[in-house]
Amino acid sequence: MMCQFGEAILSKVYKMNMKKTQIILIIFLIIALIGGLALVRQSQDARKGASFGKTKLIVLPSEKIIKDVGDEVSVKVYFQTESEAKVDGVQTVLCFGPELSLVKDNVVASSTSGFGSDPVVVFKDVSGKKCVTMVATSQKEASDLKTAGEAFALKFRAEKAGSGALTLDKALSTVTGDNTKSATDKEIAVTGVENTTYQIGGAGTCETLWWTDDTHNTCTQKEFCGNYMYAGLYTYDTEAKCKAGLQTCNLTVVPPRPCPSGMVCMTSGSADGGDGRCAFVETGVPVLNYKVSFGDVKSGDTNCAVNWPLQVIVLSSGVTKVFNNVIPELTTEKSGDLAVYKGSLNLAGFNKFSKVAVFIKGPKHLQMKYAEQNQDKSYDQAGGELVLTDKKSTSIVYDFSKYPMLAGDVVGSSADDRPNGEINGVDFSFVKGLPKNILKTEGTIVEGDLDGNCIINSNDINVLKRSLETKQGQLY
Amino acid sequence: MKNKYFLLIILVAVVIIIESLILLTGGVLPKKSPSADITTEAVSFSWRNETQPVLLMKANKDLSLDAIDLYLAYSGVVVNSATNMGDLPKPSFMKVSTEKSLVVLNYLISEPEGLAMKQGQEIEVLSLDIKEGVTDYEISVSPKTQVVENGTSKVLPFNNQSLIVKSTR
Repeated sequence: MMCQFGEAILSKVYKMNMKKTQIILIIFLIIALIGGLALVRQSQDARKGASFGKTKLIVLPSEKIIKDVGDEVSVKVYFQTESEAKVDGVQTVLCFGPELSLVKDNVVASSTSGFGSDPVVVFKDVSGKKCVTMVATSQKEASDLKTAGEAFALKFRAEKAGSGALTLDKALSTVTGDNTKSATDKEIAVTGVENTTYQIGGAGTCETLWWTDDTHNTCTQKEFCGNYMYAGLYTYDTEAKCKAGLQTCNLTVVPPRPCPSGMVCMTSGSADGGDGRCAFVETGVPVLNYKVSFGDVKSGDTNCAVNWPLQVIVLSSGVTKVFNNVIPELTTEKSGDLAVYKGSLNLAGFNKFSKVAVFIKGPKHLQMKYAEQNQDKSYDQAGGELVLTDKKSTSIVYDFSKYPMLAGDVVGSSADDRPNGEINGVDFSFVKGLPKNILKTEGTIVEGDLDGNCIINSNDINVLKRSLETKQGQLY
Repeated sequence: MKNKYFLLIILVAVVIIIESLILLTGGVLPKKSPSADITTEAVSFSWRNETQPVLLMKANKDLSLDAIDLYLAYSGVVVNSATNMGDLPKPSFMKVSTEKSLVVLNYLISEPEGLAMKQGQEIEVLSLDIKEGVTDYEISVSPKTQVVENGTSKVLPFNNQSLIVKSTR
């Protein structure tokens, strides 16, 4: 009896002990959970050398750069971080072919992104390629740093004809930033690089070609040098092709008179109903040579109207292609009192050579439609009349500078939104509210500086008002 | 009893694993969505129908305006012209688009402090010269209209009463 009683007590004590153990275990697990969570939250501080953000490094312009020997080739290196990480240092290596040359003085770190303007620049050759190592750092406060922007601006010189690529070495690139959670872990991981390509033409090189133009209707031979193309000129490598190119066509008459096989009727069906010209079907990549002007950007007063990136959209027969960050080059030419910019754009991925229309938008400008040579007003028709070839030297240089891009589309539906393709009261209010009469550094893209003279003042508001008036007049 | 604790332990372990995964993968716990701004319309548009309809604008709170992009849609009537009433500065752009049945006015106020209006203040914006003898028509402030606040460049909400005229034959 005593034994049974004792066993019962022992069993109870054992069970109680088990219960206690399990309760202690649960409490321990809960403490472990809380501790684990606390440690995980602090892990960024504890993990030395870990990156706290991600970024991409991008070479602009992203489209193929087409230049001639002797031309300046402007290139920019941009950073674009994720997770709103603010960048205070960029080190990268950019490699390029023997067609280009670069000197140290032509590498500038962007002050608008908070970097000191005098970067560390070191040249070296890697596997037959020339490479430049660039380092830019900033001592500025986090509020003056950017999450995306320009790191370096480089001005190469085109030394000889040929093509190649401008490539960033991802493995040798390092980006640092302002990490609010740690004074030691400053690295931002470079997760990708975007490179660009270039093609340098042999300006000054000459070739003997057969030709005709609007006033010379007989096939003859002549030597052509450099960028010789003008409106109405047709050039051919053989006399047979030249003679074939003199054939005319008219698709609007009954019966229609089409071009021979392999040729396309260029202007048949035009408003005047006249005959069109037969042209050979091009097979390469079309090249658009263009000249443009920006509203109220006056020649000789363009200190901050440099490297304004364009969006170019080409369209023909329902086919479109968009090209972003196209940087035109400032010329010494004038259109009235406006500065003229020019460029050649290799339309890779677009296979149309005729009836092309171009839509061009500047960074603070409305999108403009250009569809005919020397256009000086709105082109109120569908499609376009531009004809392209696959060579910079033979494609017509289309002059759109007499119809400048209207400036004033600086924000979207609120001051924080990107431009929305309209000029309205929100744009006006935004420009009006910007600090006035502060002279900015030459070469910077100043928000609201519509006339590109590095200072925001009442003239910028007047420019916007004029643009609004012009556009509303076209729309209503 | 054993099973009960076992399940509890498993539950705690699962919670630990899920929380750790969320935090380690940089996932962010759902943020509190900001409570929706409860705003009454800052501006009210209405009409006074005299011989020619006059558009009125009333401030529902103290405000200051930088711009008004005003679009009036009309139907059943011919609008010959619009006349600015003088309470607002001369519009930068004004046009009656017969093709689109729209009256478009862009008021851009250059004064640094904008156009100040006190709560309850009502101003005359414009009058429309419409073809006489028309008895059934409607004129309304188009939703494309924007009233832009000075300083913030924000588009202020507005309400409007359409002018609807119907004959009583």
